[in-house]
Amino acid sequence: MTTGSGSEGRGSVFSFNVRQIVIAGILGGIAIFLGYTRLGFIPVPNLAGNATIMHVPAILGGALEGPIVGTIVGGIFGIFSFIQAEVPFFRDPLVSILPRLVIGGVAWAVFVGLRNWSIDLASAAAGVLGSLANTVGVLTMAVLLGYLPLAALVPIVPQAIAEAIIAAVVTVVVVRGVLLYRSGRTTAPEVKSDEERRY
Amino acid sequence: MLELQRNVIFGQFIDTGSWIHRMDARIKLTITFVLTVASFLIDSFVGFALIFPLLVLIHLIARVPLSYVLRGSRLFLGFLAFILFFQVLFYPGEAPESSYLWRWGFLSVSTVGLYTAGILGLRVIFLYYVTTMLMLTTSLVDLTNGLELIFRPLQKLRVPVNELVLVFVIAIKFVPIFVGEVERLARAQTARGVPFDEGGALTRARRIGRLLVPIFISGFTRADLLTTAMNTRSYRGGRRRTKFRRLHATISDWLILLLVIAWVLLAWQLPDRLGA
Repeated sequence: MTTGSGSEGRGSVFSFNVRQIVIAGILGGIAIFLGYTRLGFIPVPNLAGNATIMHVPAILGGALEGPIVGTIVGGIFGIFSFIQAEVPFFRDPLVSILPRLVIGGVAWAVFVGLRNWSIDLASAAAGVLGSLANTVGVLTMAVLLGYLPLAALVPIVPQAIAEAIIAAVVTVVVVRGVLLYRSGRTTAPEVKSDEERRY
Repeated sequence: MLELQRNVIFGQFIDTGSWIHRMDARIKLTITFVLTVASFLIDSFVGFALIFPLLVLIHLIARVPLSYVLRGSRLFLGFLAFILFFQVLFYPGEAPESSYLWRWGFLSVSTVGLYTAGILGLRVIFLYYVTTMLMLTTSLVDLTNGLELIFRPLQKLRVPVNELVLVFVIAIKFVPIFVGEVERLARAQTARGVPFDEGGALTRARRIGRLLVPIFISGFTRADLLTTAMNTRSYRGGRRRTKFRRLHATISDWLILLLVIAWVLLAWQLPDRLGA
């Protein structure tokens, strides 16, 4: 680690390669896109106003590209929800940004831990736990900082479960799709067994 | 049918060549930051009424068609109305007994709730307008240069500023691309008989889910392409790069910044002074 040449890129706290920059940017773009077009929200009648799938890009970034990409995508998601905060407690960056940085790391750890066992299981678990990291993190901060009373959490539980399930389903399908794409195969094999034709 | 492109103006840049367009990007970013802080500080209707003429002024100088901004904000405003409705209905704070207009179980409409929701709504619209205007009046190149220069001191702390700014720029740049893409996907699926505008909320949500997976996959595909393109051009961060266009802040730019700060202070402090 050099200290004198701070502007020289080398010796950065963490370093990126081009691929990580691009994927973090594009996944961040998807997060903003989901938020801005409202496609990423499912309106539910409670105080939070809506269930969201905006954290899914952060989960995918963490699972497929590692903790740095996951953290950055989570950060973009957090900054976006901070700027567009329609609910009072998201106006505090400690609630809207800080917990979101964790999503990618959790998803990465879970995915890497289970990857050798089964890719589908690893993706589903990364989806569920990444999603819960988001919900639990945000709500813990909101309660700790006094924005929400503990009693207000009860109606949010079903929403958290729904978000986790949606995240799991989307993660599994997208990870399959991306791995398929990266394998370079463009069509399903015609002569192989049915097992492979599913994709 | 999903009509997004017409209703979403995120990340667009409209060059009217106005004075605001030509301003130094760093100053514009700083003004946006000041106004963001202002949206937290101002907490009364009078305060927002005082800041409103500033927005009108910005809009007149920038010469961006108002109808364009309004049409591009329909989705946002509709959603905001929905959220605020529930904010009133589920108002969590304590309200004095006399302020209740209607009550049923834990649902209620109180004047306190309405007031809070009103301020919240104004705040969100204010911030939305400011960030939208920044993007409408600043080209992506200027935005990148401005952000890099503002955050350059962080390089001393060994934060990879150039790379992080590039991540943000790619994110912003790709939003309109995804908007166009999801619309095309929706058209393609409609043509094959998927009705996007029929059925209840749940059915609709499920159909939208069918658009998401292709979006993610095409995102990863595009990422691979862009990575190859950047690698073949030997991208290596901002190291030892010089700028073709340099930003210049003139005296009038600084004066505008001071004016905005003074205006914000006025809108923040005056309502309190008047009330006291």
